Amino acid sequence: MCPQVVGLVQKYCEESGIVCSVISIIDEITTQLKIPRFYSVPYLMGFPLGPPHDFNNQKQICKKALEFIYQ
Amino acid sequence: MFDAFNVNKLKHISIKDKTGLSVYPWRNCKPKKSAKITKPLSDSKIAIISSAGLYIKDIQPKFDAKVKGGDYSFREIPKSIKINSLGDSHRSLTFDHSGLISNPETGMPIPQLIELKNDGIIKEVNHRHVSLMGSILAPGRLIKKSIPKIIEILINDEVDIVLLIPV
Repeated sequence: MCPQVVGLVQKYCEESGIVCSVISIIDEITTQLKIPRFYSVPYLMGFPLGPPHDFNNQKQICKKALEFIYQ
Repeated sequence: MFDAFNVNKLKHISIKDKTGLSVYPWRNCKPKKSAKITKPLSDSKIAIISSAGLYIKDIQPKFDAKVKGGDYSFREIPKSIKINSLGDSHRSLTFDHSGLISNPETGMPIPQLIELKNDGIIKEVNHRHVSLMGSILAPGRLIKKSIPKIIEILINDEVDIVLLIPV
């Protein structure tokens, strides 16, 4: 249900004028939720930013997710 | 219609859970109107909202796994937090918790955002972030009680972009 919680926060933030960058782990659910823009990651549930302790990869995923909304 | 039986990343969960996800009445999360991007990223203040169920050990209560429909409360996580003082209290058994437990940055990457700020990629990391517990089957109270308070925080803090992280 994590994607739905994130999706609902996204919906009301966007409607309040706050831009959102949404990370998606399971795109099939994200699409079902009709979240209009999301940054898809190839990782499994529990690891939204990839392998734990890989600081640089975690940082890059954050960077890419934020830059994605400008595309 | 969503079919959890055909999703590779859900192969590991039980037939009961797959069935539950397939028949669940997923909400429509499409905003009636999307926010406009008015600033470059390098001029933007960023906050994290994570559904990883993280809380500050010994200071904040864990998310309550016994709340019917799911614990809709939230925790504020200060930017200055020592990341290892965060604990995992997400109630879901459908994912591997080892990453969150050994490295809470997995769900709350505050140090990573601080480095993006130091690199000039973003302007500012907000002084506080929000932790929710994503396992909420009945989201009505989340929508009516918690989300308005979260939005008030973001508006008061003049946050430009929210990075939303599920687990």
